[in-house]
Amino acid sequence: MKPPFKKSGKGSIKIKLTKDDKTVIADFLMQISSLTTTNQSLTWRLFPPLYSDPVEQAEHDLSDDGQDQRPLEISSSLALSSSVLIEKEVLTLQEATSLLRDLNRSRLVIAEIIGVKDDSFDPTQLPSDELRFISDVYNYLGWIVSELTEVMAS
Amino acid sequence: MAGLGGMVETEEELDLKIDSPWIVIVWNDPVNLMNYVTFVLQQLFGYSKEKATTLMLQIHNEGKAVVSSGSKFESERDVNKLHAYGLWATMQQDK
Repeated sequence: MKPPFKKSGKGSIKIKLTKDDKTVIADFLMQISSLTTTNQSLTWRLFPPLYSDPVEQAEHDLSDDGQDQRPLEISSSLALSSSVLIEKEVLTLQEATSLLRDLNRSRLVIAEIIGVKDDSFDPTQLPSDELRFISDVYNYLGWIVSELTEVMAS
Repeated sequence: MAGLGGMVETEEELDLKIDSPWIVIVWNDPVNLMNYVTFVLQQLFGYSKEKATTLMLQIHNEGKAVVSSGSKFESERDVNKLHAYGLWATMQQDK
C-alpha cells in the first residue's frame, strides 16, 4: 500500500489518500463524533479518571464544573477533523496533530464496539459480518494512525 | 481520636501528604499503538526517542510507567494532556 501521508515543506503534511479512502475515514469520524455525546458505554475509553484513587476521583468529580463539556469538546474535534480530511490536501502541523488524536480516539471507541479487551483479541471469533467489517476498519485506522505518527515523528 | 474511626490524619501523615510529590502514571491498554505512545511521550514531555521508547516498553511489558512527577497542579496538567491524546493516565501522590 502507498504511504497515506508525506511530509511537505515547513512542517506541513500532504494527504495522499484516495477520495474514497478519505470519505470512508471521514464518515467514521462523524459517526464516532455522534456517539461521543450519546453513548457513554461505548466511549468510556475517551474519559479516563484523573486520579488513581477512586476516593480522590469522586472528590474531584464533585468540584469539576467542566466535566459535562468534555464529550461535546471531543465530539466537535472529531467533526472538525472529518471536515478537514475531506476539504484539505495539505495539513498544518496543528491540523495533523488534531487529526492524529481524533483518529486514535475513533480506534478507542471502535475497540469497544468490537470487544477488544486485551492483546489476545481475535477478530476471526467475531459473531457477525458487520462486526468483522468494523474490525477491518479498526485495523485500517491503526495503519493510518501508525503512518501519520511516523511521518510526524520524522 | 479513635472514636472517629481513623478518619483523622496525624500531623506526620498530613506533613507527608503535603510534601509528597505527585506522579503521573500511564497504564497499558490494548488499543494505543506502540509508536503512537512513544510519539506522544516525546511531544508532551520533550523526551528523547530513546527515553520515550523505554517508557513505552515499560508500559507495555509491566502494565504501567511513571512518566512525570511534580506538584499537584503540574501533574493535573500532564494527565489532562495525556488524556487529550487518548492515553489512560492517572495521578497519585508518591508515598
